[in-house]
Amino acid sequence: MMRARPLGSIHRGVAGFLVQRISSLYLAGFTIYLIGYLILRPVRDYGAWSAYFSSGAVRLAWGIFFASLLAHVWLGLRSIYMDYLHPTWLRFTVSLVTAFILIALAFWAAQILIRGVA
Amino acid sequence: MRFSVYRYNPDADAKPYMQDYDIALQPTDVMLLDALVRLKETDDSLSFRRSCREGVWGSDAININGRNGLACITRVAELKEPVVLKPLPGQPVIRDLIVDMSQFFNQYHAAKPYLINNDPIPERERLQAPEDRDKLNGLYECILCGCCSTQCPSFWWNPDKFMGPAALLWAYRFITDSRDQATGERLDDLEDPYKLFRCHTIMNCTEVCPKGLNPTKAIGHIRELLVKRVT
Repeated sequence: MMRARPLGSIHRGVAGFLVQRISSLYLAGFTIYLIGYLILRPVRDYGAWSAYFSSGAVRLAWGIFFASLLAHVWLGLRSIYMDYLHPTWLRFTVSLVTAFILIALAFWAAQILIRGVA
Repeated sequence: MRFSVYRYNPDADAKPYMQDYDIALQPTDVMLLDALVRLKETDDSLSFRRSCREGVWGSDAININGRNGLACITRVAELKEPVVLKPLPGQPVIRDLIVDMSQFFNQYHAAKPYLINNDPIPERERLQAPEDRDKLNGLYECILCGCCSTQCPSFWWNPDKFMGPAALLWAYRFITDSRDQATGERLDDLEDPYKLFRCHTIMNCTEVCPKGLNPTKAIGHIRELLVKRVT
């Protein structure tokens, strides 16, 4: 029979909870902005995309979008792993693989935003 | 009335099975507990817990047609046939409809469900303003039947780490009590990815609570207090 975990709190959880909520607000707001923008000012070709991304503010907004998205994905997946993957070795391995993939995606997004339009 | 009841006797059965019954209820058999007592008259090997038969002790919490509830306050006339009766989900079955509630009560005890106050004991009771007393409404009424926690998937997956809705409701009942002096320590103890934050606000607990309480709301209040501490 399993008992309640005897150890005390590890004083973590609030930061993840806050980041998940704040990132979701940004993602929702950015999605609405993007849909509105594309409806009002359709981007028809590569030249129009390049012109759109030439603005520093736009690239910053997209950078925050990707950061929010990756943080949100990490926290969401970590939550699923904590719920369903009980062997520590399995949870650790899957978390590590996920972290590597998300870090790679972060670098890729940064490369596109910094160099892609240069 | 037709019933399909979960049966398991660990001394005799290799595995659990569902047993069908078709019994004639009497006009006085109004509640499901009355029907269970009537069932036991025909098959005295059927085991279930019961005590006050009026929704105060919470002993007869079972899963009724897929939804947790108290047999003694569930009207048979409102149940779809065959009535499928199972033990509370996710808990070790001792026999038939009786489950081992040890894990549930371990988490309840982990919430320190008592007043912590280091002031000298007053001659009479510790006084409380009426508005402070009102904050306990919707919290103190919990009868620890276990319907909420055992209907919560997060409690099924991590019953040893996630405290579950009932224990968290009790934790908030003492956090918000104006006479309690251990709010900081209680919040420290709950600041943990498992104990509190495994709640994904699906609100099964609130949906099934036979006393109409709202553990999800209590959990939300605890989160608010934790966030206020860091912002």
